[in-house]
Amino acid sequence: MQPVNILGDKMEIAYYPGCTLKTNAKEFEETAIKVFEKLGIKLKEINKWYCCGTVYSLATDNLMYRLAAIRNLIRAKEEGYDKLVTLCSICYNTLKQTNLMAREDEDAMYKINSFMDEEPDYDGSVEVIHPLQILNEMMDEVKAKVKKPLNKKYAAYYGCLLLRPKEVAIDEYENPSVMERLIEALGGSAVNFPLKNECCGSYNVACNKEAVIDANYRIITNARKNGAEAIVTSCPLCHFNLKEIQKEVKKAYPDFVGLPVYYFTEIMAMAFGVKK
Amino acid sequence: MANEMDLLPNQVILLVIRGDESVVDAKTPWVCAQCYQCGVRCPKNVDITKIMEALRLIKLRKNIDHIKLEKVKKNLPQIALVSATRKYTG
Amino acid sequence: MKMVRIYIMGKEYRVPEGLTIMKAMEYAGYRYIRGSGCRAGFCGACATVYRKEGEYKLHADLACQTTVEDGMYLVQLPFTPANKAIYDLEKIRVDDKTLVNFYPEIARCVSCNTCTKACPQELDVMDYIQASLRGDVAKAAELSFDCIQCGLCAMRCPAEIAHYHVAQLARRLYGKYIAPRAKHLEKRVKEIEEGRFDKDMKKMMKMSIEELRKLYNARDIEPEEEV
Repeated sequence: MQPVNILGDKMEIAYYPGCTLKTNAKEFEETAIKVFEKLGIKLKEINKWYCCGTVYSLATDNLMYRLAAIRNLIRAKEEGYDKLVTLCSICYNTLKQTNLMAREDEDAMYKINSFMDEEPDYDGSVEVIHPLQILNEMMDEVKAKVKKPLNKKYAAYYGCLLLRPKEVAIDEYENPSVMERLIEALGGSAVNFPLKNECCGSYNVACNKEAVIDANYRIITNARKNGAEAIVTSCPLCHFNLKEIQKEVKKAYPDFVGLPVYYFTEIMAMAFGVKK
Repeated sequence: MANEMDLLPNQVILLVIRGDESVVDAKTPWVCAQCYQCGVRCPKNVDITKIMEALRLIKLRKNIDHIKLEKVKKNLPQIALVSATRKYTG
Repeated sequence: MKMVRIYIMGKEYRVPEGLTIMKAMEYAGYRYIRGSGCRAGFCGACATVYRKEGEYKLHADLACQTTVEDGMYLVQLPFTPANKAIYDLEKIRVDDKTLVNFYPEIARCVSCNTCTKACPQELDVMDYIQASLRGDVAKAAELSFDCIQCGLCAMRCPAEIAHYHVAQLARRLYGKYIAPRAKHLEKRVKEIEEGRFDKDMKKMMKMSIEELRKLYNARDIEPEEEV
């Protein structure tokens, strides 16, 4: 990926948490804010935000499902930001695809702006970015801040929504390398495994858990067979499906051996020596 | 998610091309996790992800929900519940 | 007396200008046996939905608080069907999943803001539902404080949420488990139960009315705060 100087000269960027970062994935948010501060970037939560209404709806005729994401982008714009960063992969995917729609589909935006008559019109001027895109350009700074090099073998698991569809991919969509380079910069040893961009089962966990159990078994076993001692991920749902479901995988597959699962900001915090 | 599907994605597309409406009753659109892998890899650039969504919406827009919210497991992370309601309820 | 035209369930009536919708309907001969309560904008019984002639916008308000206008097409909504979750307040453990566990339909919220536009109390309804979704019980309780449970939000919501029931649970949980307790009150109640004021109470109860009057007039009054 070409480095693009994604932040310009800004050192404070608008941050959109999303519901899960405030509940199940609190540690993701806390470590992210701390490690980015060490790197000189302030993640400033926007004052008002709404559930982005994942997953991006592929129906082009129903504009109602676009409203939540557009409202969040308007909130960021109102506070004077032109960039919005979000940690959760699913929120990133939803906001980014909605933003692309807002820039390309004039008819839809005309209708959406007319319907939301209590809001200022949105013109697509906010940029949606993911922290890994920022870190992609700061590997040297990351290396300089490492106090306790990680000594384990980490398998970077990207999941789907950071890489697909192609318009929103933060890296090469079949063979991404940004998290591996991050792990190496932190002193760890990165494990590249074939199932790193395979779906974890996502929302099937609500009603069809067998699908998630099977996916979990395949992904973690494959990572382990390639030498991984831990998994690193960026998405709270992948984290839940890979970590919390392990107990049920063990029941279904007695030969299953699990692995610890971390958010990429958690291993950064460990390496930077940041206190909890 | 192909392991859990009764009809594989390519079989679904074939039935759609033939206009066979029984495809709407398959398990496949509901197991689909909208991971976009199929559409991104297709050498003919067929947007299979969008077609799966359309198959789901055919049922949902007739007010036939795929899950009953009252029966969903409690204490799921918000993201799982929100995305499940978005894809499985109308 | 100037009269205005209003349409009650499609039928035209001429009523005096300046009446509230509720009074106008009674002037027209309707008798309220449901959908009327305090007549003072506080109980939420008289929810009304109306349109103005020539306009597409749908308005929602309370009949006892809204003045009639010429060309108003109105209908009453005396009841809103909304399931309330069954819970035992003593047994609930409050965490960030409590509200969404009892009312999972709040995950269907699409942020369309229709509820906020429908609220006659001008509350930030969408905001408190969003706060409930992410488990911020305190914020949901604060934003929904003036809710009068008229049900207009629930009737218009495309996601079929019963906002006021969610808010009521949030306020109950806040009051019982989250709001800081008044320690000085608890201390005083304990002192009373321990009998610290028994002697003084018995003495006062034996006093004559002149002694009581003297005592009352000589009581310590806290100085007024300097403005």
